[in-house]
Amino acid sequence: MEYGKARQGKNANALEFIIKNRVTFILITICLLITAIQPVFFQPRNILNILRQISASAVLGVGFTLILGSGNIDLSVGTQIGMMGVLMAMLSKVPGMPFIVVIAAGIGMGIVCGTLNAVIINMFNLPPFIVTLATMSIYKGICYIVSNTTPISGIAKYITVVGQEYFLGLPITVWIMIITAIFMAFVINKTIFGRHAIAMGGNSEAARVSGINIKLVRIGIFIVMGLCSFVAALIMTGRASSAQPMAGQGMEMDAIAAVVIGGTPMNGGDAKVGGTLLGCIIVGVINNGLNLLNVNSNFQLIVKGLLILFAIILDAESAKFFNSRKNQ
Amino acid sequence: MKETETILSVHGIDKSFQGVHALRNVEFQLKRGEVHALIGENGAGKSTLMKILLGMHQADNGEIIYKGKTVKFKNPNHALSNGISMIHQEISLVPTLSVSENIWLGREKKFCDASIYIRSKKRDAATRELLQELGIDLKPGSIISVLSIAHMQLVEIARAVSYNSDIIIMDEPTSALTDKEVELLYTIIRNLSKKGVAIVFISHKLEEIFEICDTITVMRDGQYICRKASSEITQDELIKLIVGRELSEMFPKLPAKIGEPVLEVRDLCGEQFENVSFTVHSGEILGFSGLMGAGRTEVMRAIFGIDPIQAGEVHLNGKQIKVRSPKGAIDHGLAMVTEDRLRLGSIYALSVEKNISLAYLRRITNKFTIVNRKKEDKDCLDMIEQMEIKVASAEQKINSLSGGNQQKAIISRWLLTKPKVLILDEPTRGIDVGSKSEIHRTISKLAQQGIAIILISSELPEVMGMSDRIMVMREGKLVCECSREEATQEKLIAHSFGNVEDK
Repeated sequence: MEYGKARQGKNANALEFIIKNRVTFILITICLLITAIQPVFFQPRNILNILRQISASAVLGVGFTLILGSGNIDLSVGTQIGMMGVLMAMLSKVPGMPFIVVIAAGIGMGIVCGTLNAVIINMFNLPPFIVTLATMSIYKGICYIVSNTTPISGIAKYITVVGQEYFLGLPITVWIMIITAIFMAFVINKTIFGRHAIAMGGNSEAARVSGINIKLVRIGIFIVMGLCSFVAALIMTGRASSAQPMAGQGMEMDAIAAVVIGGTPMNGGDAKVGGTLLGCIIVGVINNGLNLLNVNSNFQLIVKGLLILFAIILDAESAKFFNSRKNQ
Repeated sequence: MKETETILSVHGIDKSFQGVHALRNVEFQLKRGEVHALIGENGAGKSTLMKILLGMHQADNGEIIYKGKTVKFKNPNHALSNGISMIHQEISLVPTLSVSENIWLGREKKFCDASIYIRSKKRDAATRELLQELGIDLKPGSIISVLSIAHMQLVEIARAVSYNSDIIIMDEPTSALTDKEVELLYTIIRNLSKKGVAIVFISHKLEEIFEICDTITVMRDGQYICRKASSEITQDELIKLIVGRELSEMFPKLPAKIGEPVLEVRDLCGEQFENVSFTVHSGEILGFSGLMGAGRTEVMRAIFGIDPIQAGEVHLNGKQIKVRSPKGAIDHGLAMVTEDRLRLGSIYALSVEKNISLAYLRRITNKFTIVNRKKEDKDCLDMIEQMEIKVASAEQKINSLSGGNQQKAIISRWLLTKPKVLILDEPTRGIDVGSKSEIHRTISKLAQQGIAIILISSELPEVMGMSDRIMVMREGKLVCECSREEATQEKLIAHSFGNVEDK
């Protein structure tokens, strides 16, 4: 009797472990499946290729982890990326323009875009969804006017180095992705700003009553997002050796999908940077795998959609599972 | 003319919520054509009883006999289709729709031809007729959002009447009405009563009850106390019945040394209160009594910087302070456990520890704003121990705790800020008896440590048992101040309900 009970407990714990780490298990399962059909998948070159492909969207996803974790949304990041890419590419073409100025301009733009979003939201007490929907269009317009809707090529070499070279055996873009993720995890878990941001996502009124300056925190959150857009713009421009005015469009949606797959709730209160990275890798692995299996890229969209649905349904169901266990 | 047939009879209703007994063996009798007042303090169980009647809650025990049959309604719609409608205290109209659309919402079929097309002219005509019959001067086509609250309330009343119900329950229907509209409501009620409709009238205004009601049922602490014809009873006797509690349940306050004045509030005015002045000393517990909506919470919210102050001054330790946000208030050494734990207290997505450390986090960071996690862990565990919060681990999400333990965690959140003044707004509402007395013990201890405490409570035994001095607020004004010794339940109730002529 007692023995049976203990066994039951052990099984339940194993199940609990799997459910808690479900994103990792999904990734492993997918990798095994693809490798079984197409062993090329598991070669180091292909793995590095996947990591390089996802680096820009992962940086964006890391930023979105903070945005969603704090109960906000920023739809303008995709067009921010286009605008920043164009700006940096054009500046870099100016003869004798130092690298640092180009970077500083990108950073400055990230700060300005983020601040603008947050200040409008704060000042008129508007929902972030609508405000960033509007600024999305504004940034897009600016980007098209400045670039005359044509890609800007012939950019300075230092940008292509960032996008294409290796450092210690890994592509520089992958290093950037890893550093951004570690930095964000640190900010969210260890700094007062991160802690306040997540509390705001859990219940902004309660956070305000507990003495948190919601408006200031929101400005910080959107600036961090703007900086992530800048990093993503740098990576994308470097990888393509040119700035595409439409570069980032739609990327915000992919980033949101990765964040949600990674277990950060859409309505805030929790933030899982590691989960977001896993989410990005899953999306990258599936795209890569389907390519290797010669599946039409339009089908990839459907698979991605199904995957997002699967992940959020699993999320909701596992929450129920834990609740029912707690009540036993 | 009045028929004497009993239309509704309720027996032996019991209801518990998570171990808290909300209703015990309640009975209620309603006759056709009768206007029946249901009266009692906040929390006496009136609303719960009505919710059970309408099927919003199911009773644990007891039976409801309606028109001679035992019934158990599944939901308010079920009750409505059987002839029981209710006018809720909160407006439940769709603001963007017209008066006419709101009244017939969900019943548009009445005005449809064989097709699905709604004949809006036909509907508006029916609305016009209804409003005319009731004497309400509103146009069927007016959009709800442009109406005054009083007019919205009249639309609610018209809607309830339009169901041709046999019983209409009115929960504080006059709270938003001006005198003129109150008269109109009385006329409507009298006409309905002549037609044999039974009205349940829930109100805190005693004059109203004596003006309009035939019968009065008194409830207290979830129990049925008595039923009287309104002609057989005086206001004073009614107050005694509403209070009628033995003082043995009182909560003991430990003796504490009362020191210098800490917080002084002078002529504070805000949106829902005016000219509020009071002083609270170190080690003192200052109680705030009154009915819900009397403005007590609003005063505290303003002092704590949640809502703006329109006029008046706040002094702390003899110096004037200007508080513009809760952050400012905390920096000055104020702390506030808010009334609405769900909306303004617990952050459900976060762990117990993160909930506790939230307000003082800023004080344990280094110059790079990095939180000292070791200190946070230690302080939170100390607090959990000191406050006897029952948790499996500090990492547990706060929503898995009982209400009492959540409240202790919220109080801990504020104690970590080392406040000079602690404001507690209904700290024990909805909390089981055991945790309640633990929280009372904690409050007493805090006063002994020299913290100035403001305690808002709608429960008389709590406010009388815990406070050194008691303020009573009514309709946004301070109407009474008395010492612990002077306070009697009758006195506090009389001031809360506004019946003080002969006191």
